Amino acid sequence: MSTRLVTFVLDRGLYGVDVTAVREVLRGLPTTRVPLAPAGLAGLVNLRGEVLATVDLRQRLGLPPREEDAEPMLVVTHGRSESDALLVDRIGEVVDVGDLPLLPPPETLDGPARPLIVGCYPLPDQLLLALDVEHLAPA
Amino acid sequence: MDDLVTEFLVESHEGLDRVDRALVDLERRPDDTALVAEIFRAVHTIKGTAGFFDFTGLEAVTHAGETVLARLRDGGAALTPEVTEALLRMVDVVRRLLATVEREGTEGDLDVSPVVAALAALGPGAAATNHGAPDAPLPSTDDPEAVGPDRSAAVDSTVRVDVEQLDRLLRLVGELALTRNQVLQHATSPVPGPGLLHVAQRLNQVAGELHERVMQTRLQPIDHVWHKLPRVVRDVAAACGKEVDLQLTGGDTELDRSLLEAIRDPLLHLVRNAVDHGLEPAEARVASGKPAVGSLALRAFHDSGLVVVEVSDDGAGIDPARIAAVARERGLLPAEELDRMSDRDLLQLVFWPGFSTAGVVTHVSGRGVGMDVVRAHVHAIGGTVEVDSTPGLGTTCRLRIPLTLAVVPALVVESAGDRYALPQAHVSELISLDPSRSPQAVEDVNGVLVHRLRGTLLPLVRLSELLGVDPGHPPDAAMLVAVVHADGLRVGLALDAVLHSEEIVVKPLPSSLATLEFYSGATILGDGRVALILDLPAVCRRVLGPDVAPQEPAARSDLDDLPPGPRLVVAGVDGGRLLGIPMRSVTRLERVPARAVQVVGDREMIRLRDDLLPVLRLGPVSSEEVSVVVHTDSSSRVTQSVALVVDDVIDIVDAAAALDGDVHERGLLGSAEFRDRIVEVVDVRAALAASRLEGAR
Repeated sequence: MSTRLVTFVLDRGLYGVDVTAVREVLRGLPTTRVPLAPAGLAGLVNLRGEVLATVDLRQRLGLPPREEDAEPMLVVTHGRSESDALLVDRIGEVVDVGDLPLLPPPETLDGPARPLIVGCYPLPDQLLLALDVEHLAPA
Repeated sequence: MDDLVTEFLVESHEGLDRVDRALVDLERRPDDTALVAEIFRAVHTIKGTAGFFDFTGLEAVTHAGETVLARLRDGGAALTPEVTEALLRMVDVVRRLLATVEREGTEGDLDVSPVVAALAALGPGAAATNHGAPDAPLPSTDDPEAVGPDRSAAVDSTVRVDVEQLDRLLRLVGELALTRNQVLQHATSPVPGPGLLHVAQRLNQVAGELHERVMQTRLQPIDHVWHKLPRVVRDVAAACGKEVDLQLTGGDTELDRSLLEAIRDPLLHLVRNAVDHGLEPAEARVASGKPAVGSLALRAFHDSGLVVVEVSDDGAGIDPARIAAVARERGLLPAEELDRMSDRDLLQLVFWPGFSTAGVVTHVSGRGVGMDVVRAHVHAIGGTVEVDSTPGLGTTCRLRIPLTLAVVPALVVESAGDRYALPQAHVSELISLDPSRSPQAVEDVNGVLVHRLRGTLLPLVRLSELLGVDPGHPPDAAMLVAVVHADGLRVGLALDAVLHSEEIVVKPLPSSLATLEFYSGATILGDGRVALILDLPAVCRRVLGPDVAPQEPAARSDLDDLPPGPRLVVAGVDGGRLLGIPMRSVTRLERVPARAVQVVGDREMIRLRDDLLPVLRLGPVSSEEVSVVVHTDSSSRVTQSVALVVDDVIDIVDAAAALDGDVHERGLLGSAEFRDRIVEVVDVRAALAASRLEGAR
């Protein structure tokens, strides 16, 4: 069975989540901030009547914040219990990684990103880090 | 499951509910032939359909029942308690069979012959009716629980909607499609025409009406829950050897079906409780001059946007002193707290976990399902429950339940650029304070802002500060304050603007936010943006500090944990002694010349605005100008105020930890630490009592 990932760019890295966990990809929606919310939770958006939490993936992965005028895109995922909207810089292609080995994440990788990463796929020109949809929203 | 079978189940359950009710009625009016006919019809229908599906057990039982009913109808037999009992047992067996059919698709292997035999024994040719009970054990119905939770998923998952109602919905959906086409036309035309506004209004109207109508299809009369009660009351009363007259008023009051579901258990519990514990046995009733038959009344009605359901009995009532004694014995609350509570407040303690004053645990109540579970259920749907009682005359439990879960009237406000929704149920008024025009409007008591609202101190807090997004305000900036209240607490919430009021649709928060203290949900405003709904009771509890009794009993459960310290007004008296006065009882702080204290008779009094208050000196005072802390005790029947005279009010602080209670000096609650100094915390009530004694001497 082939595994396909929806890929996106954050800072300079390429990341992906399983295609079956992605509901849709959207351009920016007006976001309502939530004071006192856990770090990494950017706010709330209205997706056709459903209130979703938006997750600032850069913050979750310990990357530098996005430039002020850069408008993020939203990847709406559905995990086991509920949906989240992931803020990403730019959406990439859907990549079939069926033939590639899933390598363990680099040993030296630690910090906030480590529990979110399932492993990495060595694409010809770049490493693709696969994320675990269940753990992206801050607890 | 087969649709036909599902339909059969739904219809049969409805039929059985009617039979239950009619049988109980029939006991009171044995000559009412219409009732017999109704029961007969319902049983006959079940029998017929059971035969069609080849449910032989069901058919046998209902056939036996039908035979008995036919004789009753034709005057061939009279209704005796044995007959009623046998018929009720038949109903229970049929219910059990139906439940098995729903679960497994077949009747299962329940042996119906005892019931069939019991029914047959009532017929002619059998032994005299009063010896009719067979030896074989009947499926027991002595357990009243058997009647309560016999819910059928098939019944619960369907709803009956008036065809006319459906037609109206369809018409509205047609309108909606039409309006959508008009909007699309406007959207594609190069120049937006003036008609757009008109179309927008139309859309608003259609969507609003559609929403309302859909909600209406979910409304059901409370009678749907009540129809089981006559049977429950009959069985419980029989089990306790009591006679009860049940009156139901307002059964047509409508509620959202999910709420109806949610109050079913609490209501059953209250009714069982009332019959078992509330009403006295007949002898005791006669002895105290009441009719031997106890009365239990349920009343449902609308009251200011809520549905109120009352369960009243004319029993022995609840004695607040007894409640206090039990609470003391079990250590639920400190004794001094109990002394301070009014009778009404004491009564509400019955809703605390682990509280049961029942002397005897009977098999009807006292199963560990207490009033605390009732309260938890009612709270879960945004309702409240309270109890009222007059010893000797009876008890009333009152549930207040929102009409629907989904829509809440709210005030949309702005703070630090964000919009929030404040549920109006917790907002009592809006006030505008401008310190630059009237300096008295907002007073700063060492960092704590207060406003004097009609003679009482209203603590103020900026919403933006509470949420940690405060951009900083000049100290004399004008404030718009929403006075919010919950659980008897009151707080002034300062906002930047009040935008409008709106009926909001409550949406649950994503789980990562559900644990945040101040939000109870989210909603989507007119412009499509999300706004947070503030949990105003939580805001009140937080602002007023930990000295306010927490409403969650869980916080009390472990009394070994040191309770957080109370909020104290720290005051200085002569010689640099520091005194702490619990903030909870303080209603005013004033600064007055020392000579304002006058001697009237043998007591010192002070005139503050229009009130003449007795003075209590907590220590010698040396200054020319003194501070007065007004303590008001509203817990007893008469509200009493006293002016405590001190040199200076220094600060208002949260006592860092528990009061050190080792100080056993009279009039002191204990001591606390303040800036590395010891503050003696005054027990105002005790001090007051002591000064009264001295006055009397």
